[in-house]
Order: sequence, then C-alpha cells, then structure tokens
Amino acid sequence: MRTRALFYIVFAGLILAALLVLDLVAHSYTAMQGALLELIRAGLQGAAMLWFARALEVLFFRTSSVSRVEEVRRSANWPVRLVERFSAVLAAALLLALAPYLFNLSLRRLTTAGPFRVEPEKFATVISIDVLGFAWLLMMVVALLSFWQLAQVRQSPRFARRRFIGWGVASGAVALFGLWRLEGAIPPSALSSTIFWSIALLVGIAALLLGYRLPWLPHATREGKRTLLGFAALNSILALAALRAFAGDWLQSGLLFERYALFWHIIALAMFATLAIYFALVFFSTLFTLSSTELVERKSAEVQSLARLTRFSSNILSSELLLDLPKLAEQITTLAAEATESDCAWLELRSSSMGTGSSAFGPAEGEEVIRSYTRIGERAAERIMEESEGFAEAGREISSPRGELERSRKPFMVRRRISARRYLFPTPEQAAGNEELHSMVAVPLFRQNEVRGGLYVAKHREDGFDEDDLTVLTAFSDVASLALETARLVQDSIEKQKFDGELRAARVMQKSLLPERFPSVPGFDIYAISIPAYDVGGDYYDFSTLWDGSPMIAIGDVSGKGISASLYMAETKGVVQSLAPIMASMAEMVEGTNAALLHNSPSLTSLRRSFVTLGLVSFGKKGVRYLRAGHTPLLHVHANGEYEFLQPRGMAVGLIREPLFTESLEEITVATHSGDVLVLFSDGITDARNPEGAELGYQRLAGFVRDNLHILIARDLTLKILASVAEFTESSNFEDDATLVMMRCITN
Amino acid sequence: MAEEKIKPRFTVREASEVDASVTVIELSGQLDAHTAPEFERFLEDVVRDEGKRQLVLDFHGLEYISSAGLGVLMGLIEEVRATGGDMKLAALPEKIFHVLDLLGFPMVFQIFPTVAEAEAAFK
Repeated sequence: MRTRALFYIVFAGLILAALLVLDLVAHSYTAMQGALLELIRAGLQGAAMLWFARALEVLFFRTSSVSRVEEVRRSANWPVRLVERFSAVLAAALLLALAPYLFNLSLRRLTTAGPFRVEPEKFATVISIDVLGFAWLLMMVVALLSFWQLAQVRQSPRFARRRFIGWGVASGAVALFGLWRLEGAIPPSALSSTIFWSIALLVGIAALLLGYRLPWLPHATREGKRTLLGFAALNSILALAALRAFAGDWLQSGLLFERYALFWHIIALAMFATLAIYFALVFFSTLFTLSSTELVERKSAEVQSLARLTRFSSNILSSELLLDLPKLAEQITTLAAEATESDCAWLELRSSSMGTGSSAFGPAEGEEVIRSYTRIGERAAERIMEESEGFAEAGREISSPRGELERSRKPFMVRRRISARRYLFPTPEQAAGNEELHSMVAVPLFRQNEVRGGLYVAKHREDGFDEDDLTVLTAFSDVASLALETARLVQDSIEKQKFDGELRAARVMQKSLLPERFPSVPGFDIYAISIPAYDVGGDYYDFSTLWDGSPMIAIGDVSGKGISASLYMAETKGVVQSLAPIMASMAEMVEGTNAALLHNSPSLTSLRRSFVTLGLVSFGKKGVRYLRAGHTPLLHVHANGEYEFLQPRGMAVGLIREPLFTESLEEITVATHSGDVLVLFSDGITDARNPEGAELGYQRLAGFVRDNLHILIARDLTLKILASVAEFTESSNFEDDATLVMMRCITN
Repeated sequence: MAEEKIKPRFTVREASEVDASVTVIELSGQLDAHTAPEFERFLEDVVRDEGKRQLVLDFHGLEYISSAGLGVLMGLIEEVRATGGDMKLAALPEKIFHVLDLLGFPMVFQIFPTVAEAEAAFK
C-alpha cells in the first residue's frame, strides 16, 4: 500500500517538475504566453493533482476498511468528525494565503488586459512560485477529497457522484471561461461578464444541490449535532475568508496563485464559495433537525428494520424448513440478501472448528459443511473469504474475512472495496473477482459456542451498508445459528434416534446467545448468570444501549420449554437488540418488541401462544429506571438491610395488542444509594423447592441478599446467593432455568 | 412426591340454579406443560363443539399453573370474545393469582373472588 502511494507521489512530482521546466522556458521566451499555454499548464497540474489524490486516498482516506458493530454505531457521528476535520483544511488554506510573504519574490505588475496580473522577473521567483504552487495544489487536492468524502456519506454513490460531477462541470466551465477572458482570448465586455456570472450561478445551484439533502444528519447524536452547529458555522466563515483571501489582488497570494494555475485557481474560488454555501446549509439543516424531524426519520428506520427482522424470523422458524437443512440454509441466505438489499449472500457452517479440524485453506476431508450461495458462485465467495489484501483495521492487517470472524467472534463490516487490489490491466477474472463487490457485512455463525462459519452479504457499491444492516443481520445470525443447529439436530435424530442426548448440544448453543461480557455502568458493579435446566429453556439476559446512550439490562423468560422456547428466546433477543439502539425509552422498546412478536405468528403451532416476560433496568441521566413487562419484580435491598420488591404494572410481551398493552406499562424511577443492591431474577430461583417441597420464595431470596450485603463485588455476591439457594434446595440442579442479574450500587 | 403423576381433574357443572347459559368449569390439580394439551382439548370441546360462550373458570382447586396453561387461556379468549362471549376467572388461590398478576392477566381477564360473583357479572 505504502509503496504504491509513494509511486503515485513520485509520478505526480515528475509531472510538476516537467511543469517547472515549461515555466522556465516560457519565462525566457515571452512569445510563449496566452490561453493555450495556460490550458497546457492546467492539464499538467490536473494530472499531478489526480496522482496526488490517488496517493492520499490510499494513505489517508481508505486505510480502515473493516468496522465493528460498536464502531459503526459510533460512526453515526463520523460525518461530524469529517466536518471538524474540514476546519483544519480550511484553516491551512487560509495560512497558505499568507505563505507568499515568506518568500522574497520579485514580481512585475501587468495592467494591460483587464484586472491586475503579475509576472515573475527572475528565474528564482519562477522556482519559488512553483514550490508555493505545489503546496497550493496539495491543499486543493486535500480539500476536494475531503469534500468528495463528505458529499457521499450515506448517499447512494451514483446519486452523490452525479451531483458532485455536476458541480465539477459547472466549476470547470466557469474556470475555462474565466481563463479565456483573463488571457484575452475573449474580450472583457458586458456580454462576457453576463455569461461568466450566469455560469457562476450554476455553480451556486450545484452547491445548493450538494447540501440539499444530508442523509447522515438524522443519524448523528444530539451532542454530535451540537458540535456540528459550531463547526459548520466556523467552516462557512473560514470558506468565505479563504474566498476573500485568494480572490483578486487583496493579498499577494491571490495574484500569485492566479499566475501559477489560473484554471485551478478559479476552481478553488468556486470551491470556497461552494463550501461556504454547503456549510451554511449544514448549519441550518442541523438547526432544524435538532428537535422533531429526526424522530420521524428514526421511526421509519425502526419500522423498516423491525419488519425485516420479523419477516426473517417467521420465515425461518417454520417446522418444514427445520426438517430440511439445505433448504433452510438456502432460505437464510436468500432472506439475508433480501432484508439487507444486498447483491449477493452466502453462508458456511462447518462441523468442526477451523483451528483444529481442518487446514486454513478450507474444510478438511470428510468434514460436513453446510453451504448456501445466493446470486454468487462458490468460487467467487471462496476467494472473497480468503482474500487478505486490502483488509486492515486501524493499521493492523487482517488475515482474511473468514479468519477474522474466527479470531474476533464478532460481526464486521467492510465499507469500501473488498479487495484493494486494482490492476492496471485486469484480466476478466481479476476484474470480476475484485471489482464487482465493494462493501460487505460478515457475521459469525456459532455452533456449540465456537465460531464455525459465517453469514456474508455483499454489494456492488461502496459504503452500501449502514448500522441498521449490521444490527439486523447480527440479530438474524442468532436466529439463523439456532435454526441451523436445530435442523442439524433433527437430521441427526432422524438418523441416530438420539434426540434427547443432543438436546444438551442445543443447550450449549442457547448459552452462547448470552453475552460474554458485562457492561461498565458508572456507579454500578454488575454481574449476571443463567443456569439452564435440563431441558433447553427460555431464560435470557442481555445488555444493550438505548438511543440516548444509557446502558440497559434486560432479563427475560419465555413461556414453555424445549427448542421452540429457545428459538422464541433467540428471536426476542434479536428484536430487543435491534430495537434498543433506535428507541428513546424502554417503554417504546417494549411496545415495539410486543408488536414484532405478536405480528410474527410462526407456523410452528407450539410457538403460537408463546409469550415472554421482560424486566428492564436502564441507567440514564435521569437515574435508574425500571420497567416490568410481566416479569418477576425487581428486588431492591437498601444498604441498611431494608428491602422491597418493586412491581409496577406491565403485561408480558406477546399476549395482547396495542393499545391495551401500552396502557398496561408503567416505567418507574428507582432511587439508589451507595451500598444498595438491585436484583433481577427469574422464577426459576424463587420457585426452587427443597426436598420437603417448600418453595424458596421471595422473602428467602431477599434474606439471602440482605445477609450478604457485606460482599461488595457483584460477582461474589451472585455466587454466594446461588450457593445459599443450592444449600436450601440441597441440590445443585434447577428444575427450571434460573437467572440472576446483580447490580450493586457503588456510588451515588 | 407421589409416585403416580397428579393429573388435573376437570368437571363441567351446569349452573342451572342461576342461569343455564353460564358454564362453570372447575379446575383442580396441576396445570403444567404435560396436562395443558388435555385442558386445551377439553376447553376447545366446550367452546367449539358445545358452543358455550359464557364461561367461568373456577380455579379454587388448582395447585399450580404453568405458562403452557396460561397459553391455553390466552389462545381461546379472543375466539370466545369474538363471538360475543367471555371467559371470567374466579376463586383464585393466592399463589395462582400472584402468577397471573405478575404477567398482567388482570388487564385481560376479569377476576372474581367467588364463582357466584363471576356468574352474576354475566347479567
């Protein structure tokens, strides 16, 4: 990568050197002047800029091609950072306007044709101007690239390109016309002035079009928007200042750069004017979206991703598909491609992990692999999964998409160009393999808690996916993993008649859906554990972040037992995960979940009447909030040993429709103080019986927590309470899934 | 623990002394995942085949109800209400009421302390 960039820079340098020679020759022969020479110079400068652009693109604009879920989520504010960065570019441009004063230039002023022109008097001055001009061209390239980058954020690439090119053509026309006029090829008259300003007006219109719709704006967080307001205003002012500094003969730089690159100088002026307009538009759009309109956009996004997930789940969770493994795999890839509007999708799921059972180059012999390809050939998919070039994450090279899934166990997104390789003269094979697909999302598929494959979707265009795609696909993959695993078990059981034993495997599978790490919540120490009963059950807990950034803990218990319950649980988890980041409150999120689960009536009859109880605790700026949707109450043990069970109103999810469901919900604030303990639990804990048949009950559980308040670490406290429960039941097994989420308040 | 599995016992009592149109169904024993299908079949018979629409479920003898049992109630309530009837719950033991209360069932079902009050509510 670096060497390629170096090659580009050297090439651009050679062009500029040629230009210097041309300038020196032209300086000696006064006959060599005029519009034609200026055009040739503009061409050479343009070529140099193009190579600079390619080098900078490789070095700075495309280094990180792989993005994780968290990054993508954070990247909602990425355009804001681009706007921030633009301030530096514009400030540098302004400083450059003062640079000519550092040189001792000897210039002669010409006033013959229209406005002031300057001509260097000495060879040394010619060289100085070319050196300064080099810096100036570089500034132009950086500014244009930054603008190009900003203009295509979250836009359909074709649309963005078209508008940008439209702007470029208008600016080019202005520059060409201006060049002819200043060089005397067209006499300065009232008519030519009118023409000039009419084309300039076109540039203004193109600028308005570029800033007319900013699809990334609604995604930015509130803080991001506040930053944006400041920087958009600053950029607009800086651009106006740059326009003033470079235009005319107010500063030496104006005349000087006009002398160096007349064509590009006019382009630069057009660019500064455009940027001033663009950032003014950004400023005002931000001002207006600060309040309400964004909610409308968010709602539509939410409805969309919800509909996609619901469709996906209800399609896979049908009993006939669970009996037909290849068809199920095919259905998963087809739906994944459909739901993300991808050009192709494929999946692979191996029976053993890569590290142990097979070589890095593919599955070992005799290994059972489930594969499915939608609108892509096996060879092309295989090549993409093994392609290592062009994958980099913050400077770290990544072996290959397949290896990366195995290593990180996390989904990732490739925003631009799956392969960075660009052949000068590609063979058809290379062109097909490397140029066709530019963006991709890969999510791991698990089997028995190990990454055994992945689900991939890819698009022809760059930056084709957004965070919703990644979230939804991640939620899909949980359902898909579980469905594939179940289908495999069913297949095996038909073959081997030992379905019961294999249930254990499904149990391990289910456990893999629980989060591995606990969130860090300021002021709280958190630990959670879920112990499955012998049958696969339906308890779950999960952590997510609401739209306003507050962390949320969810505990859930799906009605019923067995594989159908765990599938329902996987679906609930998926819905909660995809809804939480786009919902402002827990109540809204639960309403959405209820709608999704009710709307989705899978054809498995045993699933039809399933419901799920949810207990949710969020840690926001307004304090700890609690919402109970049919789940067991929240136990709040105060530091002084007093305790209460908080049981606000709330129906279980999946039982009734709006508006009754919404009316039933009551979200409350829990006032916590240092030393308090909050416990979410499932009825598997309180329903546990001792050999005499007595139930553990709420009061005993509260007593266990109160008696162990001296244990400060949430993890130790949880384990101690589990030990107390086991002491009571005189058994280490639970009849029902038992889940505990412990939240210990360590500060106010 | 008893050796043989405790099965729920269902009896249908025609509440003729009050109003023949109200059917009282007494539930007793344990209504769990194993016995729920049996209960579902029974209830479907009463609703679909016998065409009963005004039902009172007498829970007073019920020892345990699992989510599967609750699912049966949820599964039929819409059907019963769609044809102008209702299903009311009566005489819930404290523990059973607690489970239903947690899940929010009082929002969906009318719950009465005694069978008589539930019957009277159909007036």
